[in-house]
Amino acid sequence: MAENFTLDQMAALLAGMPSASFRSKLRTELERKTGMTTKASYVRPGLTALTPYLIVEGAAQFIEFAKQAFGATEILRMPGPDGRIMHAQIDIAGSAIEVADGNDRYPSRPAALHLYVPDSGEVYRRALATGAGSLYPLTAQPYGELEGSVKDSFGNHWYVGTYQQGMGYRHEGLTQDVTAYLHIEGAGRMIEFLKAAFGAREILIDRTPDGAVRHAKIRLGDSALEMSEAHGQWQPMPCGLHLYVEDCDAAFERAVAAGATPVSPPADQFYGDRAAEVADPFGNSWFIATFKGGVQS
Amino acid sequence: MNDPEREREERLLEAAQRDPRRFGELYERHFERVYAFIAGRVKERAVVEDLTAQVFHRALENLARFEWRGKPFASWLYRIAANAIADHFHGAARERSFDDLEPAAAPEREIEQVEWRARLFRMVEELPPDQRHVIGLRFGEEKSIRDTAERLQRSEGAVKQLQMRALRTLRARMEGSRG
Repeated sequence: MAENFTLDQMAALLAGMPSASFRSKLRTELERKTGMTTKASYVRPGLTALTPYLIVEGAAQFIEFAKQAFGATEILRMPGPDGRIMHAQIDIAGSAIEVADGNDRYPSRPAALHLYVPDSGEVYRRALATGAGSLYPLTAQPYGELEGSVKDSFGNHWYVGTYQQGMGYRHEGLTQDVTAYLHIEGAGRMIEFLKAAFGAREILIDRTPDGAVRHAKIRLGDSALEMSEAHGQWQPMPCGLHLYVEDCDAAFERAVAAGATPVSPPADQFYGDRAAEVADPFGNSWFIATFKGGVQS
Repeated sequence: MNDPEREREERLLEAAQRDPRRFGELYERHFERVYAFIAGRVKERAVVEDLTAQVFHRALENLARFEWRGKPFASWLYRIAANAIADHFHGAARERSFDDLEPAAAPEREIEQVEWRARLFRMVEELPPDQRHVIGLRFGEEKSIRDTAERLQRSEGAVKQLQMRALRTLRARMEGSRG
């Protein structure tokens, strides 16, 4: 084609060429747009960085309870050959909880969850009506929540609260309605572990005069984890936590270096994650994963 | 598109579909052809720029919907561009659904010319710096010989020489690139 063109014709063709400034301006616009709207690519779609993983005896019944008491929606259910649930995912107001029936390798173990709702009184009463027992009645707490607490028949604690001192029903800094809650003997050390292993950041740490962690909110990726020093009836309930990180292998190594016990080394999984498992020094199981694409939840 | 090139494009697309932040490389690869396609049908530079921006915003927003069906990613972009042009000239009285990908794909002859022109635009980037600057200012920024000379602190004669040399180089390279 080109040999047929005179230099004037070449100039005419170039007359329509894009300006460098437009090219770079549009690129900046697109970068800004993707930067603003994109969730981290290493998190499986439908989940956030941190998801509580509940292992219960009677997962199907638990899911029914969560639907009735908390308005949960079932997202996914994978039954095993014996009809027990190998893996399921439910959603409460946009927050995911993963669930499985206990087995020999992963026996059931109750967990504690902080549930933020617009009307804690209503949800607390509905939970009781659905078969949960009260741990404490609806109380105006010093940390600004109207909160009641129940224990479901699977042993899980639910701290049902409405924050009353801010614009929304959750504390500032929290973006989800469901947050895993850990009671830890040595919560200060746990926070250091989470920083070293997973790059956690402090949202809030409220300490007693002698330095113990009365309450802490810790950020992990786009999610949060809450904890307090174990005391009285609030004793450790080590649980399962599913954490998406940018680099599963590196996080696994960092966690082990920070004092975790390796359980399963990083490996590619059929469902499209690279996943590993460690137990932290306080007995919680961390299912560390990096989403690589593939099967969507 | 040869096989390794197609494979690379597929990998880029998959990556961008998983993580839109990876869209940047697709943008760089296809910017010139989208711009050339629109510039082939629309004369006014401001409109060409506006429509080019619309095409990439729309492509980014709908990237998850793109599926390989034997046609390259560029065809998809051309169709978005054709729709954007049609909407511009016939008035966007109705909101076009993204799935409503009419009109039909552009004629092969037109695409051939667009690809040729896009390649010419890209070749400007490979010119020696002084020639590249002259071409960029004269044709990209639409500056006169005089303004270009002032900007580059060269004589008008030197700018004319550089422009002629650049046009010859481009013509020779385009000939050499015919395959």
